[in-house]
Amino acid sequence: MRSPMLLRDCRHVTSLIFSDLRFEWILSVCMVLALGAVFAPLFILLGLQEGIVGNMLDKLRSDPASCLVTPKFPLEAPLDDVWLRALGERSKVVITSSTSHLLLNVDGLDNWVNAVPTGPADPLLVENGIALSGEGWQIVLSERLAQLMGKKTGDSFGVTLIRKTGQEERLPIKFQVAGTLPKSASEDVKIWLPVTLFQGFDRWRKGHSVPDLGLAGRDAVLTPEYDGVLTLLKHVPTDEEYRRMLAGKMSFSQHPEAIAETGCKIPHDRRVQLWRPVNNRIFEADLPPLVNRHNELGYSVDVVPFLDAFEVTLVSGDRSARLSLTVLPTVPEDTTVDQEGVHCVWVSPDDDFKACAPGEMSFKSGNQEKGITIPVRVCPSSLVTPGYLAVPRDLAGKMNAARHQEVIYDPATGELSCAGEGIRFFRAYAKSIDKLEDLVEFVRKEGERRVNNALREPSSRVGEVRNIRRLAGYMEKLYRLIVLVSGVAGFFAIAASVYAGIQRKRHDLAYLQMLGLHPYALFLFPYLKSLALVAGGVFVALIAYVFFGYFSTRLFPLDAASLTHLTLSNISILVTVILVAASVASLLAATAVTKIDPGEYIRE
Amino acid sequence: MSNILVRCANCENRLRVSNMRKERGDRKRKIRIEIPALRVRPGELVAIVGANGSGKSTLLDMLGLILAPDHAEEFVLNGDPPCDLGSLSPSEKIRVRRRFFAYAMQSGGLLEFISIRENIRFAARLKGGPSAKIEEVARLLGLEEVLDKRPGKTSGGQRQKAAIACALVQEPQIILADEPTSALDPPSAKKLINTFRRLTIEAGASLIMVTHAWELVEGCADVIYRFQVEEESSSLLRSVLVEDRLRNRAPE
Repeated sequence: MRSPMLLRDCRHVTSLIFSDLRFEWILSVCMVLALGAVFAPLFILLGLQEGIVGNMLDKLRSDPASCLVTPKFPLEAPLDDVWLRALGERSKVVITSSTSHLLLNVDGLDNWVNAVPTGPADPLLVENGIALSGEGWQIVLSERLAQLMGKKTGDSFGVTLIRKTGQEERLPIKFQVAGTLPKSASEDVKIWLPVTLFQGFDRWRKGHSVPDLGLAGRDAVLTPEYDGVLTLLKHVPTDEEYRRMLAGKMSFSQHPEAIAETGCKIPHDRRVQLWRPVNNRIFEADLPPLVNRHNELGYSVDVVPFLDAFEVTLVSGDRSARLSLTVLPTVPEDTTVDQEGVHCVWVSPDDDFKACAPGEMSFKSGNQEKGITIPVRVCPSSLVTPGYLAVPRDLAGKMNAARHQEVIYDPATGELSCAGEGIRFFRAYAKSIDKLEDLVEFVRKEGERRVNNALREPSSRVGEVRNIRRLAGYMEKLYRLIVLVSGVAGFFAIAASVYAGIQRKRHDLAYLQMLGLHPYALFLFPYLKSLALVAGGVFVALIAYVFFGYFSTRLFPLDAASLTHLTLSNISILVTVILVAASVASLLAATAVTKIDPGEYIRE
Repeated sequence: MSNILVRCANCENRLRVSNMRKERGDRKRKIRIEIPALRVRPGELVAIVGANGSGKSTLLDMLGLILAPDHAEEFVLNGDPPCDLGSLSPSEKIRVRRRFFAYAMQSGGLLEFISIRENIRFAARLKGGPSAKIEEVARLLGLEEVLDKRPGKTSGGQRQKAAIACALVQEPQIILADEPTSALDPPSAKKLINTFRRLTIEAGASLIMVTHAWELVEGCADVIYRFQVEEESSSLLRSVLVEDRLRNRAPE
């Protein structure tokens, strides 16, 4: 009996609410606008948070380079297989190579072009819809290079490989362009080479044969390589003259520096200048062009290979010492290699080694636990300064090469030969930007373990990702704070307006109560009226948000992305939260209805 | 309150109250309202006359179950199964009030945000009364021209007429009217009371009308009760409802 009466009363009250809202339409509109002004900042701020930070995160997520981690520079010693397997397990894709990049001589271009290794699974290619078939010699070009060369997918692309490990050799190669990567992937002039070709070219350039690619060379020959070149001059060229020397194709790209300590005695009338390459090595073939450049400008010069901080242990008889390796400008007249294949090395007489005594010099090669030990004959020479050990130029170059790769010493021939290049560089893609930090940390820890700066400070966008995520966190906290403040303010505003409405309608509510309206139905009157106004306020807030989004995007354009962004789910959640809070506020305030005595109407 | 009952009567009395009293006011000045006996028969117009502050509105509150008396020996409403009114919950009291009573107030009352027609219709619908009666009642009370106006746009007299219309369409058993013609001149008021009474009788209801003007009800009320106020002490006034004239109304 009660329920039908209650339902009937509720229906009557609902119709009364709309009549009341119509009657007080100016007041209702003002209330709706006031509530809209309270709610609009919530929508706008959430929209900004989702828009600004969301755009940044979306941009990071859609760019594969955001997940890329590489060593800061190629490692001097190969990485071990166990660690590389662990790296693979933590990564989406890992592309490993013996070095970070190759400088290729592109037909038709004056400057070298950087080539980096890639593979069919490389997210950079996959995301940009480039498929490497694995057949034929394919390459991927950066958009700038493709524009520069006027090439497009399917075109032929010519490169000349050059090696200077002995006589300079040139090998012209024709590739097929598999695709071009947009500027968003790289703004540089750049080539992406399938890792098998990359590795093959690197080996070939170091003098090796690469049967898989049909490239000829000498097997396992260790090519001497140096860390720089010392020039011995009577007169030092001017800066302008050095600039002119550097203008042509040469292995050096920066001015030489004056150096005092070389490890050997230099004639007083000579000045020594050290030429260092940038992230590169010097081969014998690089020396004649440097001499020629000097000669062209009228300078007579002697060149001596330079080894940077290369320490070896020399043991002879009961004497042992750590000495820095150096190369003498002129070889002393003593024999260099005796019949047993034993090299002759020179020390300062002040270092107290017995003359012509047999000995052994040892040094670390690659990441081999055990170093390389080479039998030598120790000869004192006045040309060597104390603390240095001078070795024949070719042996010094090979030992230097052996520092960076695994080598084998053959006592029978006295020769050092390659044991394999090993993996010294990788391009590892994290599974997601959320996993990037873990991957970087994994690499960094290995760097700490190996005391290797290349791994200790890996290249990645982790800082950018961290900043954006931090910004997202701050924005979220800020938003929550504002929501809290607005929520409390809105809550009290709604409760106060409902309460004021009840006081204003006290006469009508007393009359309805006197008529015998069900108390629950009477309760609905201020409650539903408040909810109707709140719903209007939410609608106004949404309109304000749409206007804000429209104008803000035009005022602050963000690569065609909107400054604000709210999904249907965001809106639904926010609207629900507002309505629930408004319901609670209205319910609390609506309890004032129960305090109204119908007698008030009679005694009025 | 244990003696306050709603029970089936023999229909001789629509409402019978005996020995009901209520004390109101503060410590300095109190008034004790005493109702030794009050009887309302079906179709009767019972007038209650008293000066301002004598307890007329308090009596209406008590009769309409809005205000609980301090004591009541008997409170009998017909047509309902017996039950202890003292134990009724507020919502049950509202239900009883809704079933038995309708009000026509001095101020005219009414909801300001709907028209007079909607007010009357709302009152009718709330009590389940027929909407068809609205036009007829409005015509008899002379409200046709203001039916579509909001109460605020009409005169005090028209609002009082509208309040009477609202009370009538609810088809109650008893109409409680508190000075329902105070905004009218005496001849118009007299005329309206006669119309009100006639419509009340036609609706089968009884009318309890509170007024301070004796002359207004003289000759048309079936029974007139009067509040007799006397000072019992310096801080207590005693207002006793006494039956002034029995069945005084001459047939029209």
